[in-house]
Amino acid sequence: MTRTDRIFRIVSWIIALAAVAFLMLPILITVVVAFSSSPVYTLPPPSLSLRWFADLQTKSGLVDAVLLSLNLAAVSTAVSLVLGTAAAMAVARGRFVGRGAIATFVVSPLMMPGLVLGVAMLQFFREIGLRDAYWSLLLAHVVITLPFVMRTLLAAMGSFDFSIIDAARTLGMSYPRAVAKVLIPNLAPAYLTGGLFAFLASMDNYPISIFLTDARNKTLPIKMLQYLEEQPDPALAAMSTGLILLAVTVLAIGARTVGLNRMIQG
Amino acid sequence: MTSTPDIIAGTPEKPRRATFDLIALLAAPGLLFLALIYALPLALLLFQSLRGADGSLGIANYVAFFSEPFNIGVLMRTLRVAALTTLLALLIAYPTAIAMNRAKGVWLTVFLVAMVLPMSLGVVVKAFAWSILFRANGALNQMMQAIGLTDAPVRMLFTETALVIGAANVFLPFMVLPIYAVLQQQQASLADAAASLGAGPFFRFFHVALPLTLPGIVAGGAFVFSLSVSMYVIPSLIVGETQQNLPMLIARSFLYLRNEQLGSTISAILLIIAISVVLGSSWLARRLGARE
Amino acid sequence: MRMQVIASSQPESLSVTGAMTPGDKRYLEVSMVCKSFHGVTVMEGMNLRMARGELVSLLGPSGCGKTTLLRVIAGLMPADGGDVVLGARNITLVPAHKRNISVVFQNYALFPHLSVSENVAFGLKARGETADMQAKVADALALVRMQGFADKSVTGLSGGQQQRVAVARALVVRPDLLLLDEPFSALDRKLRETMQVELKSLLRDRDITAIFVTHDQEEAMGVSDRIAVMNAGKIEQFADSSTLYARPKTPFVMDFVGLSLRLHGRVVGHEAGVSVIETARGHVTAPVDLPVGSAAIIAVRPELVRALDMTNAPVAAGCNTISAHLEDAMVLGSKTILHGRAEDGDRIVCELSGIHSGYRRGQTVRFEWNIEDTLAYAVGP
Repeated sequence: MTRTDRIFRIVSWIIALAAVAFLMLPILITVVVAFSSSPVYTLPPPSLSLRWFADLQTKSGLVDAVLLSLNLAAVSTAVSLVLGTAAAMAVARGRFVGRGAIATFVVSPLMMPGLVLGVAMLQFFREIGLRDAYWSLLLAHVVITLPFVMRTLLAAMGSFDFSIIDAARTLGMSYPRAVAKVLIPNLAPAYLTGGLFAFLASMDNYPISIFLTDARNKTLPIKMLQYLEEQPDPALAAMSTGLILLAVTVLAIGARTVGLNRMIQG
Repeated sequence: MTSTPDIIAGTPEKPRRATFDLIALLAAPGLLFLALIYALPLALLLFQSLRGADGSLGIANYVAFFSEPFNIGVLMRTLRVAALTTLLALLIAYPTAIAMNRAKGVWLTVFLVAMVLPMSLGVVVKAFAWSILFRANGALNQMMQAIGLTDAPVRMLFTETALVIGAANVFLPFMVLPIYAVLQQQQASLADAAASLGAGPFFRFFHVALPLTLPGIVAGGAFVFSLSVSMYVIPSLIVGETQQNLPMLIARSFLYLRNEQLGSTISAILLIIAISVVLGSSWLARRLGARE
Repeated sequence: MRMQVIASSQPESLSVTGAMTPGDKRYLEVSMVCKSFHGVTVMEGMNLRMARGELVSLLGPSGCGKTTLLRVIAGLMPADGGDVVLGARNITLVPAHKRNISVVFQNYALFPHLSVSENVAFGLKARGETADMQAKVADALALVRMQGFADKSVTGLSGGQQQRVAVARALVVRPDLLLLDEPFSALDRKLRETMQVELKSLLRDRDITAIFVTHDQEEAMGVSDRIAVMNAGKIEQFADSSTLYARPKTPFVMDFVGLSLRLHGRVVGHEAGVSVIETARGHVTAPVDLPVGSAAIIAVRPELVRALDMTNAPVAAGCNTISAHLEDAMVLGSKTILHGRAEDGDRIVCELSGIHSGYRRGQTVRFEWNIEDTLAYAVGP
């Protein structure tokens, strides 16, 4: 290693650590503000208090929004996992024209501007007479979550040795059972990762949802932005802190069961 | 005489005959769903944008849009901010991915958590946290004055610079992870091989490391660019109405102006930009992959 | 013969081919190199000397330090101490890309984004030696018989083809020294033998000095002039293959290079130049000076052992004899191998030329060999 190599290496480490701090900064701010006693976002906070966490109970609209978002995220992720497994298997195992095109197509919603999708779906649902906000949101969120699931599953199935399914079949399992008992457990990390990213993407989605909500069905990001515009106070930071804790728990579980590195690298 | 396959020139693999495979049917439900709920609405949107107020087909809507200098300004701003964000993200992400590639154990976990945990925060909260930071009496200004960079509070909020920084922060993981993935797949001995052949550090970077990571850069860059072009929440909270980008214009048309025609037209333009980015990056990726 | 087992790293400089000036004998000189990883000393006081044009192998089990030594010589890893001198240059502190030492890696390390000819040209471009580049590349490819593949992508090549491109790439820059890290281990057996012969004649024709790293004893013996048998960071013996085989310095070398009949025992008698060792199978006389009372190992190469099935024939003078029950008789066509039942750690094996099908499992056989063929080592107090 020459001296230039050494300098390269040190500089890249410095930048990387700075990037980690950079990425963690918003999380830090949020958590600090959540424990601040002041209703104004002064940093550093004058003193610490838990009042905003207690305050959350009074914000019923917020709780409803959380529940709706969790519901949408969970259901759409589940649907995507099923549809995604089937589609990924077709692409990974099939030998037909257009496999690559199908893979690109299913992952493409990621690259489309959310707002445009929202507008398009709004107009389309109106055309076909779908007025229910919940069902509109659910359909839209499947479109949001499916690409995340597909991307991870495609990669995982691409490196999966399918001959062990054949082995299971020679030992007496039917094809569906072999898939259920052999393929899915082995792809657990991919499911965990894909499901996690999909879930988060759904929870976090604003641009598509804004067009499909109505007064009674507001997802969390929409409600939060509304709050920020109307009466910004650190209660939102308190709730976000709760969500961060949830994410840390999921990551910790993932780390223990599957291994964090394996999980994130798919 | 036996001639091992290595001694004579290898025959190229016979191309697989494309046949219909029953397993393709598995993809049907997902494809059908996306076709109906995703592709069809988008196609209708594009079609709508070509319809005039009297129902005739034409590009009148586009002409109307582009004849307003204000609109062109918004378009340019959108593209410019997206390009700057992508560039900033790349400059930070590349060394980070390199360091991550070398990291082991605890450090690797730290990096990976740093990439993934911010996603749990949600874009609204993140953008809001940045708006707090950028305030005149915010922590960044306080810190800069404390270490003597400036004497008076610098106006950061409502500037394009702040927007680019905030956006780069939100989208950074999406630039790091593709480059990291490519680095992981690389043989470690390539750098050694290059060195033993006489390549110094700079030659190695430009002729080995950079070309091999280019696919990751293209993938990450395309993704971050399209995210930046489409962002709504981040600019709303950091620069507000003073500097609108295309998505903000769309939202305004629909939610405040109630001008759906205009909103659809702008949406179509944004869609065309996004599709161009997808097509452009996959063309680039294919060219890189096919290089001898 | 040596008195005792000394795990020393003193190289045995035997004569080398051709007329060489004294300077040439020390074309590559590694002195007192040491290296530790994470506090664990991997190598200490490593000395190695080889002549220009020599083909040397570093042979040993995994973890013996052979790859570490290779990387230190190549400059890919800095030594903690010691010197590396090549020709007249002390290259200890010279970075890898300025040493003019080419390396062929175990997985070939071909650049996937470059074609075959671009790979070969890489070193020339890196050094700025672009004059006649096309011609040099073409020559190098012709040398390894890959001239038809110039514009092909490297990713479609088979293992053997990739290896040849890697060799061409390493040689086109005319290195002062060529290092090869287990270059044949990824190839199947048939191909391996072909490539070893090809590579050896190629290197010979061009008078190239090369060091191979391998764990395959047959490969080392086939390809090199001298072999450095390494164990736990030290060179146990550095000699040509016949010396290693017939006169191994330590039990490790004896076991690693070739098979042998071996018995452990204790020295019970000693006269000038001769020791008697008592083993589980009886007394064995060896033409070695060993201190009485020390634990010892005796060994003899299987093809020097004769089998007698007449248990009551007189013991021939000047011979060692042991008896054993026959475990197995393997008739392999050109030779027959007899395995006798032996106690733990011992091995009784005899190799007879030709087909001998009369042996039955369980039968008692007397094994006999000449005293002067006996190898013996003291292995402890």
